[in-house]
Amino acid sequence: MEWETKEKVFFGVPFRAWVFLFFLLPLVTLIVISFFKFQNYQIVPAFTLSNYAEVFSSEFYLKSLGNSVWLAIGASSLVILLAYPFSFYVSFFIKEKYQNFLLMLTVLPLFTNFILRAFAWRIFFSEKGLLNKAITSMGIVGSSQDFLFNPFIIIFGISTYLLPFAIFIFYSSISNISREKLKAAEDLGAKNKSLFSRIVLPASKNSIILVFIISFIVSMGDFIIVTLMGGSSVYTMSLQILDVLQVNNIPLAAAMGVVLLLIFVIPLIIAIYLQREDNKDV
Amino acid sequence: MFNRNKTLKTFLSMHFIIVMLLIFMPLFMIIAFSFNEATFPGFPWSGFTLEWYKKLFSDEKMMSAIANSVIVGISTAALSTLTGLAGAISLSKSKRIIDKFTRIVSFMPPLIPFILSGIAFVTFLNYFPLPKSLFSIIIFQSVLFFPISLGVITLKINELPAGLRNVSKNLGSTYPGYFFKVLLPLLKNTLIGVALLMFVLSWDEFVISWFVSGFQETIPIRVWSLLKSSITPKINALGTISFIISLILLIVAQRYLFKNKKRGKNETQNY
Repeated sequence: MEWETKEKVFFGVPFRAWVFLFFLLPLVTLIVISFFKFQNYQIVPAFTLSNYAEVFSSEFYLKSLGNSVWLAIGASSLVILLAYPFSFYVSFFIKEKYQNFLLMLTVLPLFTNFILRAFAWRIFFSEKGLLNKAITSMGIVGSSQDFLFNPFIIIFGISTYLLPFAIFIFYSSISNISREKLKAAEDLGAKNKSLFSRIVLPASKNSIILVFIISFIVSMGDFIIVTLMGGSSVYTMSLQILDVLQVNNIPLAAAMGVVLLLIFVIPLIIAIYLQREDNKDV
Repeated sequence: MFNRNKTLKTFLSMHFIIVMLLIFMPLFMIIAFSFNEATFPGFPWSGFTLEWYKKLFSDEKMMSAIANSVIVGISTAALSTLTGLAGAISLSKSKRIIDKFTRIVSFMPPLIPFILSGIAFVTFLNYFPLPKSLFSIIIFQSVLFFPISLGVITLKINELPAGLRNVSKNLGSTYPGYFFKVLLPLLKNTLIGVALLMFVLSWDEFVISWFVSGFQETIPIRVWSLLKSSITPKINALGTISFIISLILLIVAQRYLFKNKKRGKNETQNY
């Protein structure tokens, strides 16, 4: 046998079988089931758009969908606002030999349990938590404030969870920008402002899009932080899906999932399109 | 350049400190509470104790969750590394449309909201003769993570000298000879690094495991069900211990991946 054939038989075939059987097939199953009926607590094979109709006609679902989207946009924007300047600072203001160490430091907290981290934040912000203790003892406010169970705390929770990933992506992009190029531009009289807007920002544009997409996907699918820190004060699509699954209405849950997927596919297509345009310029 | 601007420097260093606090606050709290005497994790500090660690180790459910997590972690590490390797070997450089399609599909799993893959997997399990068990957790965690191993191993394979295969062939090697004596030794460090990384990822994976686990519990599932019913500092002890374990594994993994980079250069020079 030729080597290529051997590779195909021993690696190619099992690998394709793996991807198709355990990833593609479940995904296709989900999409197919989203067109099935749910009658008397049974899944009945059929072709109906009623599940989608239910998602789009129920005000409750639409509102949850809206909540999911704007929470995701909020979290993605906040994580960029927090992580980008951080990575910028590390790559331009910190001595090079300490940069890697600092970066390793930022991923450390990822290695505790992430549910526990969300819970730790909940304790921090709780009525008897550290934050309330601090601000009441300093006399900033008279009595304990209620920080938990609102949309902003969810956005905060999701973005702090995503911070290390975003910092990593931004750093690898910003630290790769050629220093010679920046020096040359500066020697030719460019001010910091234009150095940033005409060299640094364009060079790291793709990383910003990437972080936005990753954060968007993660926040759309999250139900841990929404439950622990949001206390279901804001109902999102993932919480709705869990509720629907409680009564085993898999067709409806599948339809909701497909809608969620489509919403995430749109920013992805926009991102790919932007990337293409980018390459054309070069 | 930028670092000569004083205002910018002050502003950015303040920002740096705030972000660092945001990153480390939960970690500090988990570690501190695991040694705190009070049952409700609050303030002020009420005294040092190792009580929660004792309680943790005498909690049978927790211990079995830890054992399950170890089993799942090791198996997922092995399976996702192997599938990543198989994919990297068979997909690289092929220009056929079906291969391009497979390549795109192969990188999709982590890009789909986890809750959605969770429903897809659990629905699939209703029709497929595979029980909801540790075994299904292993399969679907590997599906979730193999794209990362695929990516890393593909990068490494592309770094290898291009003529390696032909040289081995012309020198009369058989394919298994080339695979086991040439390719695997060159990839060894990458594979070990990837496997350790996969273990760490599996260790903290919750959503997919939760959907496909049936009645088996891994650490995150146990933590989730505990947090929903009662609050006990035991879980902080658990968090601290898993932090230390993952930290050690990560340091080892990084060493292998890093060693590999340095060595890679020398090896390439030999050809």
